Amino acid sequence: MSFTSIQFLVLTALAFAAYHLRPTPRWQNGVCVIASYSFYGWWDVRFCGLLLASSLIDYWVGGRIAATDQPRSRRAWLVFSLVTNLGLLGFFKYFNFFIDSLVIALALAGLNINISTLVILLPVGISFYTFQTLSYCIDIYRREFEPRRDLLSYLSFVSFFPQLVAGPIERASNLLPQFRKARTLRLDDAVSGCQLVLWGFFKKLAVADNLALVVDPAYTSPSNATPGHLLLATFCFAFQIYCDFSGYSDIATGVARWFGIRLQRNFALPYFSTSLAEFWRRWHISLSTWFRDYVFIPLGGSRCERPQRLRNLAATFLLSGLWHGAAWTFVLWGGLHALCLIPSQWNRSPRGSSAPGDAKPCADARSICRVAATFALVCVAWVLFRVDSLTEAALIYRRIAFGLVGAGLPTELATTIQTWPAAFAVLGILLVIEWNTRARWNPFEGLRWPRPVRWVAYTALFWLTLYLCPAKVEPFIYFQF
Amino acid sequence: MKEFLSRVLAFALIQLALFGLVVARFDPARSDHYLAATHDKHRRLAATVAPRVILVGGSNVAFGFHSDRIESALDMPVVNMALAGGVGLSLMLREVEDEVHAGDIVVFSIEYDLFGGGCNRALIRQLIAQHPASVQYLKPDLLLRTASENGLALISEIVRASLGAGYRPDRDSEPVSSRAIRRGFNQQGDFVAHYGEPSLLPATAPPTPVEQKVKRGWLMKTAVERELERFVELARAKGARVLYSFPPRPPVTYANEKATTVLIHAQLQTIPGLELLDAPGDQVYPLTQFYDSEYHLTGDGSAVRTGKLIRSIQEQTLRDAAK
Repeated sequence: MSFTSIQFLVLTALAFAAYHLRPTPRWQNGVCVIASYSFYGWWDVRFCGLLLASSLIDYWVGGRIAATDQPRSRRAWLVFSLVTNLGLLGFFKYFNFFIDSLVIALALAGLNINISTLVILLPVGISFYTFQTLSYCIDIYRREFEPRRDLLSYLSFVSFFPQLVAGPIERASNLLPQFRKARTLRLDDAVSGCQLVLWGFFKKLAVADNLALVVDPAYTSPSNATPGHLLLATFCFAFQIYCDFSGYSDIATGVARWFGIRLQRNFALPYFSTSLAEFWRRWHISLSTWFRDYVFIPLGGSRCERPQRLRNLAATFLLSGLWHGAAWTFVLWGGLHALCLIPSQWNRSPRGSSAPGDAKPCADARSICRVAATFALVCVAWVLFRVDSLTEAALIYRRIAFGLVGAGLPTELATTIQTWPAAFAVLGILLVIEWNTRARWNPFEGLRWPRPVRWVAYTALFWLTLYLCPAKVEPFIYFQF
Repeated sequence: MKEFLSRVLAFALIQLALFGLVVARFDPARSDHYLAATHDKHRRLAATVAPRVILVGGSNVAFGFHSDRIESALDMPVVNMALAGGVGLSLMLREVEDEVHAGDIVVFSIEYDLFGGGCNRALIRQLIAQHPASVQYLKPDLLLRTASENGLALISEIVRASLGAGYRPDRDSEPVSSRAIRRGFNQQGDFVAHYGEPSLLPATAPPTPVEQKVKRGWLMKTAVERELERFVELARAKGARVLYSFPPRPPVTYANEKATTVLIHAQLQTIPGLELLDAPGDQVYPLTQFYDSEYHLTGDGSAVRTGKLIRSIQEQTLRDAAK
């Protein structure tokens, strides 16, 4: 059930009506769980069983960890949770990848064996909700969160439908307390929710799906695309994936606000970052902080000697790459980011992590140069994220590199822009709006215009989105993870 | 809560009013979209008197015939109703079944994947936006799925069609190049804008191994079989004939698909009352006679195919007369 479907609109409307009928935690959580499992079951009803099983196991394990003070017992229960969650993820997402990789590795060693792969259906959102329930158990183990015997709240926390299939990956300390009390609809939350939903749909439908029209032909057949088209397609893909994913997050966050729930911010204008380190404080914040808190820091983080620091960095980013997909291209994408972050970690003195990336990006010339350089670096890595194979990536890098010094580049760029003028025009609109409203979460936040003027702005954005929405709306990119 | 709901209601009413104003501008005569040609086809179908030859199918039929030559040879007016295979076989048959009369000859030819029940819901949404009356030809479950799974895209199509938009975001995913426009069709409904143009396909197809694996997804599903039987029975009850001709394919593609098309041929032979004009192997043409896809013939290719169709119909008619 996509956010762009009428079924989702109907489900949300019904859930909203039922939810606010009786503002008591039990009633509201009950409505949440029913709506969330209906939403999830729409993809495949079998997935509901898996979600429920995963949720119940970690609810029980969390209780067992909290019930004992014995370090060994607590650790044993935590390991049980880790093995279960990662085992589920490993089987559904990585089984065939590991088998294929093993066969290739053995073949390189001269051993040709035949191991059958399985036809495994990847449950939507499994990467997100397993990490969410894992963090619940880890936080209890670390005594950073105190569980309560309240299964309904917990199930609501895990399955909350706006963020179930593609995040943000929420922490129990942020979300569970909200589910434990009655929620009433505040006007400012309702309005900001509508603003986020509108902005999210604009980014997804008007920007991301139109940029896909530039990207797909080039990346489907890179040997036939001109270097100029490939270069612009890579640039467009950077914004396609940003608008697709942040658009989804905005819609999820906006819908959550209609239910009186505050989700964490997941994107903070990452392409205005002046360094790669800052980029990772602004991009997919819920996932990058998850890896920081549960992988990087437990390994030692930055508070160790240089070799360990670099090892920790590499491990974190390689795992992050692997999380995105069962393919070596994703692992290499993570590895490339780790490589580019080495200079910032090389001479770093062991101290705490930097502040979150929600500071307003600067507009001076030096900052703008650094923004451009960081963006270029990120685009180079995005090629690995988009392609199906390393061979394809090598071809694209080669063609772009030679094209950059080719005489035909200006013509190729002009031709590409002229073929899809609307895609580039709407991208320009997005950049202008986001730059000028970069201090806010969404462009309408805190807007002090009179209501009629605001409504004209909302109407203009709504109709622009409607007009530019392609006939074939692409599924959200991060649903495949 | 009350204030929020009243604001949402007010905003929604304003947008609905704007939507009404926009949709009121919809004028099918203005649209130059490829799929808007269906207005002209339906108008011709309603205006021509039986007996006629009615061509039905996907774009292989739109690009596949010189209807004026069929008219001369058979002395019957021709209406080419074909647009694009993506609309699905069910819609193709349902949009002509009420207009079939005694003496009509319905010739249909569909792209192979349609036997498996395939259709392109994005294309159907575009068709509804260009020709809202097409909704009546959709089966209820397909209509529901088309409208609900991407309601926004449908509304968007309607808005663009109403504004007579030159912007077509899916321009490059349309059946052919930028020539795929309403003006590209002739009076009978044949797509002719590309006549005189050479093939856009690679001059020499790379040699590919002949693959004998059957494409199970192409084999005729029970629902499709029932749809065909229903149409043939209905048409014959009205005194019309229903003929099937296989779509054109280049030699290598035909060889690769042979294992599947042989089975489809056998399946079609079990449809009572359906007259098969040819076999898949009779519709193999050199790659140079295909325009921009392996279903779309050039002007020369469609002339050859038209000749074959005329001869087949004439021979079939003689055989039936002899019985």
